[in-house]
Amino acid sequence: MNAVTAAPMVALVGNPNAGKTSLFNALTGARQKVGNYPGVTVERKVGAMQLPDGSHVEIVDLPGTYSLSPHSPDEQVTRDVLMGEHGIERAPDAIICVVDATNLRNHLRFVLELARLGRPMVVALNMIDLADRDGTKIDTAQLSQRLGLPVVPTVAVRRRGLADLGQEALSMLTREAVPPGPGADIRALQHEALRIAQAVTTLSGGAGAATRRIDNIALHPVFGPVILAALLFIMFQAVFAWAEAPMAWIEAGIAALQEIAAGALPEGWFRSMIVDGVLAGVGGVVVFLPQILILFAFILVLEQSGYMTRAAFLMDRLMAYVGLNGRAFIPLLSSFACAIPGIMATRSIDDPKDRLTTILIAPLMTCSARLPVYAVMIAAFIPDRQIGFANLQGLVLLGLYVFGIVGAMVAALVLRRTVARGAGSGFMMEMPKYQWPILRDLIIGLWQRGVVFMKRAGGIILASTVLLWAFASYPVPPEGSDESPIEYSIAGRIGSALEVVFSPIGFNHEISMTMLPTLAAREVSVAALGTIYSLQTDDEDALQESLVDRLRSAWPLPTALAFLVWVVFAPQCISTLAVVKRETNGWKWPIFMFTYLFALAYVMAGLTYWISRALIG
Amino acid sequence: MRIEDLKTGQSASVVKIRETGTHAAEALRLREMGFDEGIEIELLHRGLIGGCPIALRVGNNVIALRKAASRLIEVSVTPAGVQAEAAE
Ligand SMILES: Nc1nc2c(ncn2[C@@H]2O[C@H](COP(=O)(O)OP(=O)(O)O)[C@@H](O)[C@H]2O)c(=O)[nH]1
Ligand SMILES: [Mg+2]
Repeated sequence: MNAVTAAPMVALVGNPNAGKTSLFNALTGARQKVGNYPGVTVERKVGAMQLPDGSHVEIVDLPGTYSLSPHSPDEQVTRDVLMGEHGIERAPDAIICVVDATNLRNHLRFVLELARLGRPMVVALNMIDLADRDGTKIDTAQLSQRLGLPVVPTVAVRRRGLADLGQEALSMLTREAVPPGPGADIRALQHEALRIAQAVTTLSGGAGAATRRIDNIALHPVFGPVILAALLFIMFQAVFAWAEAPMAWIEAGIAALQEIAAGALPEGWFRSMIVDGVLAGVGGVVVFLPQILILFAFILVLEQSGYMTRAAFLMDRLMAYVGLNGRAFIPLLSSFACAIPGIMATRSIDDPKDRLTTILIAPLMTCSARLPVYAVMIAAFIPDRQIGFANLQGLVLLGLYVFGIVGAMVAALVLRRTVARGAGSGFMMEMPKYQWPILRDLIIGLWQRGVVFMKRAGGIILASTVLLWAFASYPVPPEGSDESPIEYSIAGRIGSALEVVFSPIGFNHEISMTMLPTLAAREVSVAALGTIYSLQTDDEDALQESLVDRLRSAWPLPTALAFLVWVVFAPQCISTLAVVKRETNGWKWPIFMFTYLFALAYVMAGLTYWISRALIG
Repeated sequence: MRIEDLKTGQSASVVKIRETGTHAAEALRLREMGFDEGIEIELLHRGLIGGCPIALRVGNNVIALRKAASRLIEVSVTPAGVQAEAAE
């Protein structure tokens, strides 16, 4: 070992759901998402781990894989790093292979494959608690002897066995890699694994009885889909019901801040920027934090408990009709919170065409950023009337969600027959044992989402609202000009130019002006309308008048409906496009996505406008 | 026989995995998921529409897959008694 160079690197490897991420968290204390869905670890996760001698090693949580023959981008990364063929990541100095003790046979096959690489390696025999519970006894000493590798029993979620693991990792680092042996045929590995597993397992009980009982209901052909539908219903219900109170607090807090700022700052451009630009714009976004956190809390619990893979099972057939597979369900569900984590979650989809299609339709899932727009528009234009059991406003909101989903399905069908043509790779996945979600991991996961969201609010959204404020305020019209300041401003001029494009589908000047800033983030469109309308009037009373009332009096109904439909399909925010570029390695697909969504939104909004105008008059 | 011809709850053992030609990649995946000649499987669940996908117990694991992939696997039903005798 050379002490002058960077710290040695240890890679965590193993089959999906072996407990790599849990072990990584336990070893490093790093903040990272833990989930049950195979392939949830899609990003490179590095942390520092202290060894018993006080030195530190760098530890990397590699994506789970079943073998060194990659089937997905995820697995490709793992293979490349382990083979020392990854462009950026150096080859690990040692490997910790995480093995699920309740599923020894299959996990040992991978251990045997890895062992042939010749790199120093320790086996972490994880989930030993579950093996105990099932009545399975594993002779660790004999396992170690047969494998020719150190074996350390661990329980990642209870932090058991970590010290021993550190000790073994330390001794591994003094060992040199030997040249890799010849690759073996998978059958030979399977048979060797089976032989070893049988030899070291002295007592095997009926495994996973609880999981079996739950699955009898959760995967029941009739009850299964009913339960899934009920869960989704409760989830969306909770997103609205539970978030109401915290959202009201945030709104009140922002209003108070605006008042303080207005009182404390001298009249002038700076005060206008802070109150009308920053506080109004960023506040309008931060208000959605409660909804996003609630939605993610549900998704994390579903993932950690193991239910998510069951949902994928139940959805697979429906997905197959539009040329996708059940795995697409998880990314698409995440996209209801935000398309960005959704698109990143597609990395676990093996087939490139399946994956591309899922990426391209993910923005059609109604992300939480669209909610503010829906909420304002519905409050302004849809009567708060009871229809049977349901409320008309609620029905319209539900309708908009369904509209997005149906649009996505149709888009998938078309994409699968055109740009993403090709036979699907099918659907095959492991369904892990059910687990109680671990509160600590849940909180870490939520914290990460919250931080990402707030960073966005503080970064791109803050920047764009300030920019919009500036565009809407400058240049100031000369004294005596009969043009209103907003018309004279840059925003007004851009709006006028865009109006040529948008007026055929019923959009007015104000909507046209929001088009550019809305690219920063969808929720900006409400803030933008707020800015535009409050800047458009000097009348104090009109300023007090809420945006809802303003819109109601200023927009004809067909325009409002067309705008709502536009928001369902419209090209997504720049951050989404940036993620698509990263995930597809180029500009081709983000440009394609922008174009197809723009065309779709334009046509649908236009149809809505003309049809509703013909009907309403 | 084919896996889809099993009754729900019925066990069988894998006789053969077809892995020629275009099936090679899918067959490799099946092996990685734990399918192997001689392994005992059990048909646990079927999807509502067309009985697809299906969930199988493979050793200690539960695997979901589509009918098309399951057709690469040939199984035979061996009554527990016969199996035990064979093991004697
Ligand atoms: N009972 C038990 N559960 C564990 C253990 N290690 C991990 N888990 C759980 O197993 C599931 C999968 O773990 P995770 O770390 O996400 O696996 P990965 O896919 O290998 O990263 C999670 O629900 C963990 O809470 C363990 O030692 N004992
Ligand atoms: Mg993981």
